Amino acid sequence: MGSSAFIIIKLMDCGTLLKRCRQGDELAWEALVRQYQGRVYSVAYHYVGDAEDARDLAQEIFVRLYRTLSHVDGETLLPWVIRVARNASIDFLRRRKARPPARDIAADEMWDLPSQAPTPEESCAEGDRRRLVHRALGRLTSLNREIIILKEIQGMSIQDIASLLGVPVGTVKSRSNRARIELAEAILALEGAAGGGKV
Amino acid sequence: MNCGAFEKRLERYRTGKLCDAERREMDQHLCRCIACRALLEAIQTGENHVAQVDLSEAVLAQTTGSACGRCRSLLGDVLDGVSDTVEKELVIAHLASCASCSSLFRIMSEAAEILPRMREMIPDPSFVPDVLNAVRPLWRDRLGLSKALEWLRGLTQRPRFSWEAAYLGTLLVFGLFGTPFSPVPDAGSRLLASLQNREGLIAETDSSIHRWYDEAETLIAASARARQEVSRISARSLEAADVLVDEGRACIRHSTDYVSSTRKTVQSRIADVYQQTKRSKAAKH
Repeated sequence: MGSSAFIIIKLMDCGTLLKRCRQGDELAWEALVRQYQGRVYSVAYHYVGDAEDARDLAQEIFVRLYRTLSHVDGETLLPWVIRVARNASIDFLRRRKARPPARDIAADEMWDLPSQAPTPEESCAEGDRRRLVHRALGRLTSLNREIIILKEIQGMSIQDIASLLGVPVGTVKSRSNRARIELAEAILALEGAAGGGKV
Repeated sequence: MNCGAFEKRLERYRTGKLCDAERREMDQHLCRCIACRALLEAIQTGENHVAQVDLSEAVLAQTTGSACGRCRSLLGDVLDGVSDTVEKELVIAHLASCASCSSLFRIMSEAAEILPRMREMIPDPSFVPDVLNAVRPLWRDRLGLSKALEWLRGLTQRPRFSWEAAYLGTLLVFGLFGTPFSPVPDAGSRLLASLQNREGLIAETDSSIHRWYDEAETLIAASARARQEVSRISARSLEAADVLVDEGRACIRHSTDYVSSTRKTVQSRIADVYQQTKRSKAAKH
């Protein structure tokens, strides 16, 4: 029942959903949230590195999305959602840097901490491999991490990423290869630290 | 099939000990995985190839240095299938002889398979109700005041807002005072005339200041006189109060004397009456 409803929602036209949302249809808004929750939560999780923070952040992102529903059309909905999610994540990281958590943990170390809540990886079969990649992501520089998240994970085009990050297209292209190599090196280092094994 | 599974079956694949299904899987993996293809080629090349690699490394060390940097700059393009044929062959040849680049390429190709699968992560089932609850207050007020306030807040937070406000303020002042259609068209000319008549303005201000000074002096003198009068009246009042107090004391003294003399008279009168009564009783007996 749940999966079939999800498929129906997936097939729904974004323009129609947006139009109904603007007219005040709460069901359309709920469908929009269900359709994009995976993307938004994924972006938040990979930026923030912590499942609980990512959940709160994803909620905040949807509130932001709701407030700016009138500024977007159906064709550019997904890039816009990712843009809003990315900007909110950056804001969150800045806030966390300005006001560190009470337990006084450096932001970079958050990636290596096991969260109390079950992480998304734990609920799927290839959890170990994804966890390794996720931890390796935390070791990248911020720009390289962003490029991996936006290009490799979210599948955005190089032009969209350049526009979003405010850097030239050539920079994104060259950085993309460097980011993938840096990620592979981080994975290899983590594998070495863990005593070998595959990704 | 991933690279790990391929490596496990590689020896049996080379010696022809795999079943048809497994062999087909291996062939399919070889078609799409450059790193494993390079690994297989490297194994099949044999001992002579190892000798060539050692020689090439020595030559590179004395000439251009290691080619790993150049190879790594092309790995992404090879992985995406956007490199030209020559570069691809060169990279494959390097991968066959360089263990570190080969392992890096293997990790990169596996990560390229895993990363898109991390595109969507569904949070717990209570997430959507929580989002709907968080948005509900906004939903009720979507056409109300908060939207206008949000717009105004956004307007004032724009970086050029101060410039635009100054520009609009100038236009407003010009429209109010500087055009023939303004509601107070003579305000500018009156202001200009008063500014041009500086002498008269200064003289008028000077006379006003002198007038205010004289009035202030008069007020100060009057207040001094009033203070003297108040002190004189208060001294006279004190004297009168002293006289009244003396008279009061004399009255009290007279009253005390009168009361004591009256008490004596009454006591003698009572004693006389008592004696007369006593005598009359004795006469009766």
